[in-house]
Amino acid sequence: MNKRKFTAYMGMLLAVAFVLSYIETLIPLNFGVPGIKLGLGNLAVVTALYTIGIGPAIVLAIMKVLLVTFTFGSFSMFMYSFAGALLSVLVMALLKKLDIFSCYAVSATGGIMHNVGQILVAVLITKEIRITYYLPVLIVSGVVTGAVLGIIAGLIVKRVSKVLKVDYER
Amino acid sequence: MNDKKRLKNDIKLIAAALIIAVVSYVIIRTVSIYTTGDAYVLVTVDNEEIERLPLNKDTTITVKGLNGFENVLVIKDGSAYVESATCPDKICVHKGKIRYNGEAIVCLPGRVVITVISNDEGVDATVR
Repeated sequence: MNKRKFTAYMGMLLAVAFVLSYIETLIPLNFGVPGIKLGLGNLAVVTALYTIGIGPAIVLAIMKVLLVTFTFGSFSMFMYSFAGALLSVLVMALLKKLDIFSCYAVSATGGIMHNVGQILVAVLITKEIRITYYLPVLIVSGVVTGAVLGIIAGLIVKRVSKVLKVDYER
Repeated sequence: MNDKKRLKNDIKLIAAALIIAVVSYVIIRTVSIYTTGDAYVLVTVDNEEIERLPLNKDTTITVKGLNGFENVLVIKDGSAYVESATCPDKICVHKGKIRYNGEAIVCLPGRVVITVISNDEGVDATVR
């Protein structure tokens, strides 16, 4: 992919991530557990991971968090989101590199790690180890949302790869 | 690696994650029951201590308040509540369950105060 195409595609993914994150703030989800999120923005990150590779996906994830939290959130929210997004994208990159899973499991693990990262920061900030009480619920919700997003990302990657003329890999 | 093999690995990984979730739930549950062992319920009538009951032991007692009013105090599954009372307003019954440090049920007609005393502020108190 040439540089111009790459820039346009990256910008498009960032815009999609931004809009999806905004849509997510409009959907009131309250399970009584802090940290449960749909993670719609992650869809763009997974798509990036499977079309333009690990490096751009990590950059996209970081830019997404910066944009979204400075627009819709606060500084404390930034720390949670940043930790979650970074851990999520790094673990996804690692699993992708291992090359033994498809994007479904990679995305599901990303969902889990997003929640785990947030919990870790919460424990560090409040010095309250009992917050880990929420971990089992967050793992399950991460698996469910992550796997669903993985399936959607798989469909998108399949189509986008044709347009971009990059190697399609599941 | 072919798609079929990948999917198999996917299922293994997701199953492992769910198993970790279940195991950690069980561990956390066990530990939290263990750590709330030092919590107790303090019952006072007219500022005088009547009873001190551990919160992790299920029991039912009748507290005799002033002016002949009686409250039936139940401790069950780590929380305390007044099941029934002979006082006119029944505010103590409507208060519901208490379990975290500092939570209290007050029955003014009988001057009965039931307080939870523990080091456990509870997860929800922290993560509000």
